Amino acid sequence: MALSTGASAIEVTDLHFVYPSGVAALRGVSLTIAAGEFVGVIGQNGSGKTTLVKHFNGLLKPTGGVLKVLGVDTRSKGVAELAKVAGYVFQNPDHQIFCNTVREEIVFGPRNTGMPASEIESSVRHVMELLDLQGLEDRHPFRLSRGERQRLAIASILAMRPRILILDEPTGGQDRQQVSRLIATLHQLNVEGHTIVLVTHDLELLAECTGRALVMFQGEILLDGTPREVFREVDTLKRTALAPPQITRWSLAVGLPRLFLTVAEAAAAYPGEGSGSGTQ
Amino acid sequence: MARLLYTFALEGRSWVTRLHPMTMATLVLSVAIVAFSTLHLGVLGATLLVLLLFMVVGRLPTRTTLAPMVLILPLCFFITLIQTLARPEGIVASWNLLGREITISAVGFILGLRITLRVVLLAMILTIFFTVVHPAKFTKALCDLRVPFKYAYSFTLALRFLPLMLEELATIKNAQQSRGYDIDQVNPFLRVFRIFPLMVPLVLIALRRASTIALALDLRAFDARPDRTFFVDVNRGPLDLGLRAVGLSAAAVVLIAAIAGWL
Amino acid sequence: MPILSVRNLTFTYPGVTEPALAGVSFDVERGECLAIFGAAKSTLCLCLAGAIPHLISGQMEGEVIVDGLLTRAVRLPELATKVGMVLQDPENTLFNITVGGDVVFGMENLGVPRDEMAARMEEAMTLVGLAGFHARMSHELSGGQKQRASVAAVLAMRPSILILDEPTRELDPLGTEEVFGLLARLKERGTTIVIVENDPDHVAPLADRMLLLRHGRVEVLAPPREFYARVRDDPKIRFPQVTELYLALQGRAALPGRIPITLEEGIETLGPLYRRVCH
Repeated sequence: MALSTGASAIEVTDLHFVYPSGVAALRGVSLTIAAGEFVGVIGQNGSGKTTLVKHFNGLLKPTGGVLKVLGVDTRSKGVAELAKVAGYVFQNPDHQIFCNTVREEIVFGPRNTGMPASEIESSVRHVMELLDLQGLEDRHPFRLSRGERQRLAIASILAMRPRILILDEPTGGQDRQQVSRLIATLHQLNVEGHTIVLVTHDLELLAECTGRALVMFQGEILLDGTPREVFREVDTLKRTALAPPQITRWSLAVGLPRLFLTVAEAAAAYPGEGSGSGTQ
Repeated sequence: MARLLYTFALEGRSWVTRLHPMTMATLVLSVAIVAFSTLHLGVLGATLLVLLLFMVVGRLPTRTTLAPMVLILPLCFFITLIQTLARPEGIVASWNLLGREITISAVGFILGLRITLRVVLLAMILTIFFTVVHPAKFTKALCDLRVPFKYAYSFTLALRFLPLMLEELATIKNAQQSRGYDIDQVNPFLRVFRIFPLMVPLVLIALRRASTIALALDLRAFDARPDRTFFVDVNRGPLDLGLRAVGLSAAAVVLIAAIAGWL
Repeated sequence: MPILSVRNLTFTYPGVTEPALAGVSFDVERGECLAIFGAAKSTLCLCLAGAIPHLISGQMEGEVIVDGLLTRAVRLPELATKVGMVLQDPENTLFNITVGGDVVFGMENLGVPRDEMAARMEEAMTLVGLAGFHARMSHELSGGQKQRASVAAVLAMRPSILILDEPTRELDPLGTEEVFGLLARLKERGTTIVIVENDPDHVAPLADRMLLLRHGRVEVLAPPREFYARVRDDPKIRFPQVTELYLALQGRAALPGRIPITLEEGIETLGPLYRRVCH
């Protein structure tokens, strides 16, 4: 995982957000996400997690408090402009796909943000390789499988070269192999220096790839720490009705000194062929 | 926008919800006939007063019933403006602006107001209709009139899914904005040419949703037999007959008066 | 006699050369819960519910027999009283304005008399834990509540078999808990359940047998423990984590024979091992 450079990518100060209907979705959220971090945001529906991350690319503007992305107050920029620095991948790829070819779809974003034509070329090639879409340039998006469309959606956002990538439930309905592939891609992006914010219901996914977990509850941040630190707060987590990955609950129940986040970690801790030398 | 104007909270306070759906439909028809027969200020004004009185007597919540009217205000403004500027007769003032002559017509202004009144009446009675009529009861009422169930039901389906489609459109707009495509920043007159990135996903999602709904409907035996039963029931009372008679008679009088040229 | 019988089922979508299902055969016993994994699972579910061949076009061969009825020979409304299907997105299956409206919808279509409808609606809603919700508007409910309302709407038609295609895909963890709690209750009452579901933690304790479809054929059909042991090298299937750990340790440790499929079993089976080696 890349080391954060110390510069802050997202700075949130006492953020409040009330929907026009009167619902107070965020009630005083403050946090700082450093550049290069890989953050997971979890919470039940209605906890405010999606509302929070929608502020990161300016889709929503604070009704109270301040939010700065790469040092810029989001209230001073439109969403279309912030798209250059913060890319938001929506949960359902069908909410954005409208072109006749995969290539056109990927090019749409960079064209809108004013990327020079030569740069667009190399960007398109890069994201197609990264998301394993090579050979599909001229394919009609409707003829792609759901998994391929999901990768296309990510590619079309990455093509704009945003420093920050926000993903909303990117693994819906995907099998284990597809999820692994996505995790590997996200790791690589993080190593390359992208700041990644992942909103998910899947705590196994969170444990597997993120370095920091934010637990949202009723519009506030309930817990903020590494996944290991967060999962240890059993009583607090109970309030949210979120359960850590089975292997973590298992290690807690068995009474082991160390919490395991993944099966690989647990397997490696057992002495014998295939075990590690006791990682962490 | 309110998901659905009809609320169950209304059932407790307003006797209007106990009327037969067809009575409300008859009132809509009556108001429509009056509104389209004439532009006589007195007649339209009186009809408006009657509707407002109806709302008071019927204990309809003014806020929710009048709120949708806000949507038609821009339309009314434009109608009045155009009539004021376009009418050649009754000119009270004129200027020369950049080589063109701009005229203000008093006749046009009054005409604009009358047309506005017509639009307001229609909007109001339709809003009242959707506020007090339970969709399932309306479906039953239509079926009682021998409308085939699958057509009568489309009203309920539309009421249920139109708000959802509007939400999808909002999500699509957000998704495309996140790719640098902001339709709000495009000139309002050119917007219609740049809606492709919003319309294609919307149409596809609508089609997909329609196909899933069709599957779900069929799995629940939709249209299985012509003698389907209904859980809700609709009753017709003396008040219904009375209101229908009054509404239609008033409409007939206005229509005849208008044709005979008395208005 | 099994409540559900599939004999040599083959189905090809129009315009496609490869069949989605190619000679699938299996039985489901009354009161059993069968979990389906692999490719073309939704297609199989649609065949079991009768949507194929009645609603979806394509080339179907073989037989699906539901509670004694041959699906292709019987009209869909009649099948609906034997087998009910719950779809992924509850938003698309609650089409009436109120929850009660949706629960009675199927019964209305079948011509059930009004007083009987009231009783059955009450019964179905109590079963799913939504008693008293009949006047609530569907759009006000949480995801878990909506999906349970969907199940109630299907149960009101009193099918003996319930098919669920990824019922918790659109739900948050709380909603998922609610739905699986309901399924456990239904299973106790003797409802036969066929479910497609990715979440191994919840499906493993519920399923009596698991079926894997690959290349249109039944590759594995076995109780969970045997199933997981046989598909251990399949990269696409998600295992309960304790099961995965157990399988990873096979060969390295002296493991008791029974493969754990729940957290409790994992604690029992692997706990002592780890307590010894980790201090």
